[in-house]
This record gives sequence, C-alpha cells and structure tokens, in this order.
Amino acid sequence: MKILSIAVPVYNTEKYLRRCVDSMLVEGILQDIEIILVNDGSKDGSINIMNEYKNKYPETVVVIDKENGGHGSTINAALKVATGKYFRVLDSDDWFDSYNFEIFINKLKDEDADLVITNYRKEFIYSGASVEVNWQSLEEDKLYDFNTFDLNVLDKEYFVMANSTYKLEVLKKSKLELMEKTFYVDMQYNVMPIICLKNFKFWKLDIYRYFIGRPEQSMNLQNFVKNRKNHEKVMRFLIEYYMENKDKYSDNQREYVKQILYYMLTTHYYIYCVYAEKDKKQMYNEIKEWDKYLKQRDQELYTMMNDIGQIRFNRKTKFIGVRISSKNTSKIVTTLGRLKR
Amino acid sequence: MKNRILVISWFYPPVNSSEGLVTYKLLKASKYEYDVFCQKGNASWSYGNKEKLPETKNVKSIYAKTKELSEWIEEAVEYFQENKDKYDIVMTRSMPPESHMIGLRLKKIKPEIKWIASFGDPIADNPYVKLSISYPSPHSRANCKSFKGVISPKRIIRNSLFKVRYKKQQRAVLEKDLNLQNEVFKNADYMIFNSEYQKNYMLKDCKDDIKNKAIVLNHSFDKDLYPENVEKNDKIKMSYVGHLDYLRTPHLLLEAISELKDIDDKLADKITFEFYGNMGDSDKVLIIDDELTDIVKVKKPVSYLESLKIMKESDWVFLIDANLTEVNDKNIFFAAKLADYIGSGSNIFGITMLDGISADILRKLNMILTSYSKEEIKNYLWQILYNNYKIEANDEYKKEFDSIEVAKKFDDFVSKIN
Repeated sequence: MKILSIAVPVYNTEKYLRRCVDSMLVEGILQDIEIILVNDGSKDGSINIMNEYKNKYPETVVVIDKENGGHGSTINAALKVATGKYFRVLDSDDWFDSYNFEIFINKLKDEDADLVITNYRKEFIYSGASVEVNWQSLEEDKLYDFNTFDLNVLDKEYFVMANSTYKLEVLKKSKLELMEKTFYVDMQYNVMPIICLKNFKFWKLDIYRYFIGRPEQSMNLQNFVKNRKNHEKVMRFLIEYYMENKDKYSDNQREYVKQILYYMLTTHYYIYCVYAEKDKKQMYNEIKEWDKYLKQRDQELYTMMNDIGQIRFNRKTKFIGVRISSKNTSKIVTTLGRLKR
Repeated sequence: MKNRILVISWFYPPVNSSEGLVTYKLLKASKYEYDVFCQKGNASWSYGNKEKLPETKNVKSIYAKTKELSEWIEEAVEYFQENKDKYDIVMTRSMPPESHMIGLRLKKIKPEIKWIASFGDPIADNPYVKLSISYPSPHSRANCKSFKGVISPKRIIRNSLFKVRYKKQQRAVLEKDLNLQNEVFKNADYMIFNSEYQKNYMLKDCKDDIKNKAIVLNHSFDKDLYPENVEKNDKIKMSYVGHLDYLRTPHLLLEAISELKDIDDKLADKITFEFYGNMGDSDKVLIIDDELTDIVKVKKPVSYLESLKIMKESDWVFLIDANLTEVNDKNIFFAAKLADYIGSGSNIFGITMLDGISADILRKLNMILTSYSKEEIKNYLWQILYNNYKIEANDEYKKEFDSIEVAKKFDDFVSKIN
C-alpha cells in the first residue's frame, strides 16, 4: 500500500513541472508514494512532460488528463483515484525539499494521526528571497486531540494546503468536494475536513516550497480584485457550510473554523477596502451587499469583523471610502490608527 | 559571389574575448572567404591576446596598427577606402558598437555595398547596464556625518541638483546610444541577432521595414576545438568558466553549497566546485566565511581552448545569468559560453531567469534550470549528490548550436544577398 498520494494540479505549467516532479522522485521512497499528475486541459506541452514521467516511473506516477475545470476539479479527480493512506497537494509550480521529503515519508510509515503538519517556505523567486513559515508553539511529535487542545498554540496560523497531510479517509469522510471552475477553493480544503478531524501532529520538517510572484497567480493582489466574485462565491459557500454544521462541531472545532473564517473574511473585506483601484462604484455596491448578507446570516461573525480597524471604519462611514478611493482611504485609516496609538 | 567578405570586429583571436570567438567559429565553418579587420595590441575587456586557435584557410586577419579604439575606426575606414573594390559585403560585429560606426561610414563611401550589422548586446537601453546605474551623489544622506547634515536644506538642495544633473547626463548618454542604434537599423541592409528575445527587445519600437531586415543566428560550438579524450574524476566535478560580478553572482549557489555542507560534513569527498575567471569580492569572502575552501576552488582565468577542456572534463557546468527582473521580465542575453557548454557534452546546471533565451534552451535540452532561489539550487544539488539524478539530453536539439549548422544557415542567408 502506498503511504502517500500527492495530487499535482497542472495547468499550463510546463516551465515548472519538471522541478516539481523531480523533487518527489527520491529513489528510496518511490515504492511508498503515488504522484497523481492531473492535467486540467493545459494548452502548453505539460501533458507530454507528464506522460514522460508516467512512462519512466509507472509504479509511482499516475496521469489524469481531463478537460479544464479549475484547481478544485483536479483535486476532486485525484481524490477519486488516490490509494495512499495519506493525501496531500503539491501545486505544479511549487516543489518539495527532497531531503526533508524523504525523511517525511519514512516517518509517515509509522504514523496514524489524522493530520500531520509540517513547515514550509515562501520562495520569492524573482527577488531571491526565501521566508520560512514555521509553527513556533507546537510541540514536535505530540499527538494533539483536536477537541481539547489549546487553540492558542496555533499562534493565529491555521492548516493550509502547503503544510497539511491528511489521512485520505478523513478527507473522504468529510465529503470534501471542491468547487469547479472557481479560484480560491483552497479555502474549502482548509475548512471542510475539520469536522472529521480528531487529532493531529506537528513535525518540524520544512518540506513545501511555495513559489510566489508569478503575475498570473491567483494570490497576486491585483488578481484578488479581478477574481473577487470567485472569492465571494467560496466565502458564501463556507459561511453556509459553517451555519449548517455549527451544531455538529465540537467546541474546539467550531472555534477553529470561526477563526479561519475570520481570516478569510478579513481578506475579503480588504479586497474592497484596501486593494481596489478601479470600478469603485461597482465595488462599493458589492461590499455593501456583502456586509448586509453577513449581518443577516451570522451576527457573531459579523461582529467579530469589527476587530479590524479598516472594516470598522468602513462600516461606520457606510463604505463611502470604497466609492471614493479605497487605496487613499486605507492610507488615511492607517495614519489615523498610528496617531491614535 | 565573386569577392571576399569584409568583417569589422575589434575583437578577434588571438584576443580571447567572447565576441571574437563567436565570430571565429562562425567564419571558420562558413564556405565563404573573409578578411577580418581587427586588432591584437589591445587586450582590454578580454582574457588576454595570446589565444592560439587553429588556422582558418578561408579567413585572413588584417590587424590595425593602433591599440586605440578611436584610431582603429579611422584605420578601418582608411583600409576600406583603399580596398573598396574588393568587397561587395561588409559585416560589422559589436560589441563594442564602434564597429557599427565604421559600417555607417563605409556605407557612405560605397552605398551599393551590402552591410550586415551583427549585434552581441543591445547598444542602447541595455538591461544589464540599466541595472548597474546608481546615483553616487556626494551629497546623499548616506554620506552625512551628523544629524545636522541630514536635515541641512543646503545639502538637500545640492543633492537634488546633483540628481537632476546626473539624470540629465544619463539621458544624454542614452539618447546618443539610441541615435547610433537607430542609424544602424536604418542604414544596415541586414541585421543579425543571437536570439528572438534579443531581436524583439532591440526592435520593439521599429517598423516592419526594419524588422524585416533581421535574422536570428545562434551562438555556436566548434566540435573540433575540444580535446578528444579527457579524464574524469571519481568525485563529481562542477565548473563555471567565465566572468562573474556583483550582478552575475554565484551567491545563492554558494549559500546552497554551504547548507549542504551543514547536512554532510564529508561533502568535500564527494564533490568539487571550480570557478575559472573573475569572481566578485563579496562572493570570495562568502567562500572563506562559510569555510567552503575545501569544496569550492576559485582559479585563474584560462585560455579558450583550456576552458573547453575543463568543460569536457566536468560532470556538470554552471550557467549563471544576472537577475535582471527589476528592469526586464525576460533574459535577452544568450551567453556564448552556453553554446560551448552544449558542445562539451557535459550536463548543464543553469541559474537564470525563468523566462528568456537561456531558460528556453535549457528546457529544450532537458538540462537543469533553476531560478534565483537558494532552496531550488540546493534541491537539485542534493538530487545530483544523493539521488543519482540523471539527464536525458535532447541530442537532436544540440545540433542547432553546431557551428557547421549555424554557418550553413548563415551561408544560405549570404547566398541570397545581391
């Protein structure tokens, strides 16, 4: 049985794909891993590279070639065929540190926690900078009971694709199915498995290398503004999902999910109140409508957002700053905040 | 074609310079006959003037008497005036761009002559030069010795005036270079670029009549110049041959080596890194500070033929390009050494911009390509050292850089002139 299935969503990444796949092909662990390369209707030569690897490593590499359906659809497809005890995602423009990955796999053979958390690095390749994202307060190798552990040890961080390795049965039990043709579905991946999560462990291994800076990346600020409707769609889904499952969560699970939603909502408000530069009238209407929706749907989440000065100020001024110029309003609010301090 | 072709090139063997060597390999493999007006007295901007390369029957070197660039221009014009009936075609090769200044004057002397202008680097708006420009104001805040100086209005005004004057000077230089470049584009009959990237960058503001004059000719390797048999070491040998400076820096590579040494204290028994040629002081300091001297060797520059031998002896050769992302999103510079690396048959480990000519070539060859990430470099070094990483090179594509193939394309182009 394979220890780990790694889903690799591929869309027009022929330039980076070799780096990604090469980083996993470590001789000593080839029999323990299953690399599921999912071609999402790429228009470049990605599929040729994928097939080349499949032919060379037939016991390790699986190729799924499908029509374009977005990032979420590739993970859904990989989940359907995955056979590993554990499952994780590696985007095709990112890569693993091979040395730590080999240690990780060998350690995973004797593991049974629902989730294993590791560290990762953000690689700003155009500038050459590298920033490690690590968990300061988690104890290495300790099995944390998700229903009882002190959430403060997470230090305002949460489990994301780049640092999480889930047991496949947890993901299946949670009925995780990501939205298709939509950006930001990683937010679903971060929230939905929690309901079935009983425990987790942290290993001090720095594995994932998150490539940052490509202009076409959805996490690029300008793209956040451009794709804001996608962000809203996923946010709405998650809020409805949270409302629906609120009573099924344990106290800790509910608190954790609420915290993630708080971070995600902050980003959502920032898209309108800080990053926006164009379409001000439309953005103004959209954020007003969104704010109304959130207030109606969950008063608690709505009130939590007042912790953020930007959001509080914009609510007080009925988001008029978004209509005038969110960038300048943001500067004013920041300056006022500093003066007050 | 009845006559010999006149080539104007400041650099040509025995001067050991990339531009001259590119020209040498092309002409040697061509079916036409050439007179190369060059010089051998001035070895500035090169690795000496004693490079002994095989004689080429179809090429005759005509050496200028002078060592001065400005006088060389006049000597070349004088030579042409005396011999203009001998030539139907002239090819001028930069760098330096003075050869094209000669081309402009030759075209005036004999307007019917066909002029091919070949560009090594852009004359104007060169991304490498753009990134090197700083504003060394003596009145800057950094030069202040006291707080009083920092807030002094006199200093602030002087600093602003300096900046304005400096920028004006820079603009004047850029304008002069642009004028020369545009004059060459306008008057040359044909133009040679070493990659589509370089061509598109240099001709981005030109109309189609200019763009239609351009052809792209790869840099090439000459397989006859490599030694037949070389000895390989037990240890993995990775080499870099050529110039390094604070922009074209091995800094990230050295940091990656240092981190590998942290996880393997026997690293020196398994691998050796050799750098031949100039290296920036800060990188040499890093080698000492990180105690890498047992693994990393910095060696003196070598002759061109010796460099080819080193390339062939090495298991891996490094290509290190400057990170010019700040000024241009694509690398337009095709380093001539890359063609020589390809000819050597050794594996190539490229550290370059993810978009551009080097990246395209390395991807097509199936070689290693990393960008400016210590982590990425380290990961591939680890794969080579401990994971038996193998390259399956695209040998068919290598042929596109064989001087015989490149010269065929050039000869075909020349045969259509007239």
